[in-house]
Amino acid sequence: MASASEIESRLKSYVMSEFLAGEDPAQLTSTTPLVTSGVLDSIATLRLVSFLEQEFGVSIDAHEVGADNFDTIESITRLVISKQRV
Amino acid sequence: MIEPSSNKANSPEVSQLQLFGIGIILAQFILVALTLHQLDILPANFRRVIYLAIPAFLVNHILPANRRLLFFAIFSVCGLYASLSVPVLPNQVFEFGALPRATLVLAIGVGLIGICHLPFGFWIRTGMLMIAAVILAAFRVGIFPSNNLEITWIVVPMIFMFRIVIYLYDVATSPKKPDAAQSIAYFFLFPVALFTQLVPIIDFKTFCRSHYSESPLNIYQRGLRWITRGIIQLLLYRYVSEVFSIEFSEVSNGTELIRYLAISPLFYLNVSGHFHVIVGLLLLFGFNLPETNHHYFLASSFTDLWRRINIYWKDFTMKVFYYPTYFRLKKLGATPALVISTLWIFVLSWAFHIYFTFWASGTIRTSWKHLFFWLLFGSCVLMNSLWEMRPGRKRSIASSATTLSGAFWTTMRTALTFTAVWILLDPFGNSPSVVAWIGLWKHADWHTLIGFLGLILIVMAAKIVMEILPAWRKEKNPVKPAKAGSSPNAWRRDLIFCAGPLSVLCIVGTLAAHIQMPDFGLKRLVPRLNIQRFYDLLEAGDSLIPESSVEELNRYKNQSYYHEANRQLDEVFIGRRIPRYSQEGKAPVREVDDYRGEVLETGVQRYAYETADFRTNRWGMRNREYELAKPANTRRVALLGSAETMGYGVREEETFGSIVEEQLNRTETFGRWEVLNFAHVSYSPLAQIEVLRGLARQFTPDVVVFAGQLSDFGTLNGRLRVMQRQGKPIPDDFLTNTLTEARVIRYINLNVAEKRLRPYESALMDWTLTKIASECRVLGAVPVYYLIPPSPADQFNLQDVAARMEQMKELATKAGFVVVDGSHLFDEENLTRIFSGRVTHYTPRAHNLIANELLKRLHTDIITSTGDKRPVPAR
Repeated sequence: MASASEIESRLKSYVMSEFLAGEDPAQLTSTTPLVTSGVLDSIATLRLVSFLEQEFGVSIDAHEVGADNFDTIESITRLVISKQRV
Repeated sequence: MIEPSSNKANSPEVSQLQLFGIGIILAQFILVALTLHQLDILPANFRRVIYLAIPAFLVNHILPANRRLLFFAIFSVCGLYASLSVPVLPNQVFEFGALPRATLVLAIGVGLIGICHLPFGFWIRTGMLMIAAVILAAFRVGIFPSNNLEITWIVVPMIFMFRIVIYLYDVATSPKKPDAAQSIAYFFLFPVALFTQLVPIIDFKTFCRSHYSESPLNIYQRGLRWITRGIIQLLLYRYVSEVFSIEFSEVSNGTELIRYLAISPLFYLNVSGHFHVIVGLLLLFGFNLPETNHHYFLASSFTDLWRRINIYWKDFTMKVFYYPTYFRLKKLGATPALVISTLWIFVLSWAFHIYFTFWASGTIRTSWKHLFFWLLFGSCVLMNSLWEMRPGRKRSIASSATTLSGAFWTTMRTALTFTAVWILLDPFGNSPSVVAWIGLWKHADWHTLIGFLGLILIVMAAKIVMEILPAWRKEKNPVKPAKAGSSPNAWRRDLIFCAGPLSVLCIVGTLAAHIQMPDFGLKRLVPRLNIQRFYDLLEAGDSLIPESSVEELNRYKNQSYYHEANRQLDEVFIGRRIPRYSQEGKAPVREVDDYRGEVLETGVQRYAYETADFRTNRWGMRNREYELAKPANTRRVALLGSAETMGYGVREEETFGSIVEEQLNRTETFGRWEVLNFAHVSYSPLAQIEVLRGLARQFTPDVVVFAGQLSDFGTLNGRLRVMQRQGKPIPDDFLTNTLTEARVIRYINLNVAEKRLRPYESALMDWTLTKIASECRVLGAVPVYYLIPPSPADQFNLQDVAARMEQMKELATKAGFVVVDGSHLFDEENLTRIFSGRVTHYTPRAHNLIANELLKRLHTDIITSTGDKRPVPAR
């Protein structure tokens, strides 16, 4: 089971390479809004869900896809950890 | 589940700075109320609750954080009672007051919320809600009678139709249940009681989670900024609909086409403006909700538009339908799941529009053209989505347009998206049919092209100024990345975008309302919506007020939230009955190109012109059947006039024409009498010329009685300018010359045309009456001008009523009519017995009085002039 910091790091790396290529990595922090700032739109969110399911072996439900779980790297990490515990 | 924010802002420090900040917010809130009042932007009922909301805002802020939501819930329920409470006028018939109506709404609401919490599976609860919806629908369409509680079946669905779906979804998918205050506050949130038809679909989780999720002052100030933006959008919408509006059917050349294409998109400002005001108000109570619409004209792709326009709708469909569908189908592969889910959302959007229309109007209106429209739009979004699915598509935390080439391509994409959506798709959605939409483009010429290029340049410039330049500035002067819960003093930045425009609008509105001469164009710049007059006109009804007022009424309808399909709700809002005739389907009339404009259909069996017995004979007259050839020993009276003469609102046998016929046949010894009613609701005096030249001539009347009314000046003016506008043939030189002299050209604004023609009304009336009298003489009939009493509706536009009446009699005498003055008939009467409703139509008693006066004159001197030399028998 991956630790929180490991999940955060892999997540950041994925988001930077897939959605923010060429951007300054320093701009993406654990609390940078992703959904509300438009970085994660519906399509990007679906791709991120696939990544989470494959990378961390968790299963995300449809009702968990939303700003409350996906708005920041921090909240996504929290979701993954809670799923790994199940 | 639904945890309110744990932000420190929940326990605001009562510091000097905060007190100052609250004072500033409060001052702006008062400024909002003043601006709404001065500009008459929203219904009076709404403004009343705004006044209540000001002290409520203060109380809410002062209360401890854990009491605020409960307070808001209580205030919202009080708002429901207040908005369903209407002043009952003496002659109104609301048997039930606000108490039972609001209590019933509340009880049903609590029942629906209760169903969501029952310990059954999701689909059982869904089924139970659907059964409840079917029962409500049965009440809504009137299967079960509910007397004056019918408003309940409109308000309940408007509050619950979408939000109960979100609520059930959230309750069913979250481990923790919401508390009662959260549920009540969510459904009965107080502006909903006022805007039940134009409320954004707020997400329940967001509603709860966002409560005081940031510094209160920041939330309040953002709310005020959005309200200000909403007010500006509503004003812009009003201005556009007042000055530039053009109907689809009115487009007849290239200039009008580009005008139509440029103006149509702006009508969405009405929706966007209302949403901003509603959400802004909720922010003032601490609900830190997201933006509802964001620069939707500047979208750079179809998906971008979908994300910017009616954002709450998008979020609702994505959350409850799109993601669940996609997750169920993802085993098929990402692309098939995406295609099906996306198209499913757009079919649902079409179905939900029918669903909404049903609850709003009580009828189901389907349109395959609209399904096609949604699928077309959905396909465009889908293609965009598939493109965006490609790995490696670049996004940005700041903006995608921070390089020169990026800015160029973003601007170009914006221009293309605007063209595709607002120039091609939107008119298609608004057109009556596909063929009509294709026909629209036949008018395109070089004027259209130049106008279109100008429009696109404006859009591109707006994109650069509003989005690209700010992004560049941000790039050059990077600030710290945004974090949840920004600086507690960020509200000060917003102050200038709110207090400034509000002050200007309030001052301009005040000047526009009170400065009489000159108004420096302010009245045109900020056209004032006179709500009280709007209500008066609504109550009077389209067909009973002067034609100029009908236009005014329609303008008010366009400029306000008024929705024709929802009369009962409007009755609650305005606190009066609106006559039902405007709601009874298409009137039994047929358009004609001459002075009449329209004629009654022949052989109408049953139609509800306020009464249920309206029918016409085979000649298209509201009469029993008559033979064309005059029977032997029969005399005929041709009755000309408009609504009152036709007998609007009374039964056929109660019209003064029928009474006169019945009395003449009972009392006159000379043969039979037939009184032929050629009147029709919309006839102006000009129409009577056509009636006499046509149908009336064939019946060879002995007497022609033209029932003239005070409103005739206005209807004459109205008919003439409408004919000119519609390009109808005007065969009489006098009329065309008058139009030329008055500078009433075809495409002039109708309100301007009305003003320009006003000085010519007397001359026009003189000419028309002379023409009618001369047509009567051609027929060998005695021309009688019967001046019937004015209704309060007739007097709306006139200060000099007595002088006008005198003038009408003088003009009729000059034209050669036998004048019967009935203008004084109601002087001694109790007007509540004469007019049904406050300013509507004559009652049977009024028709009796008018008939008796006419009979008196027919007996004393008119009958003898028709050739009957025998003494008139005593009555």
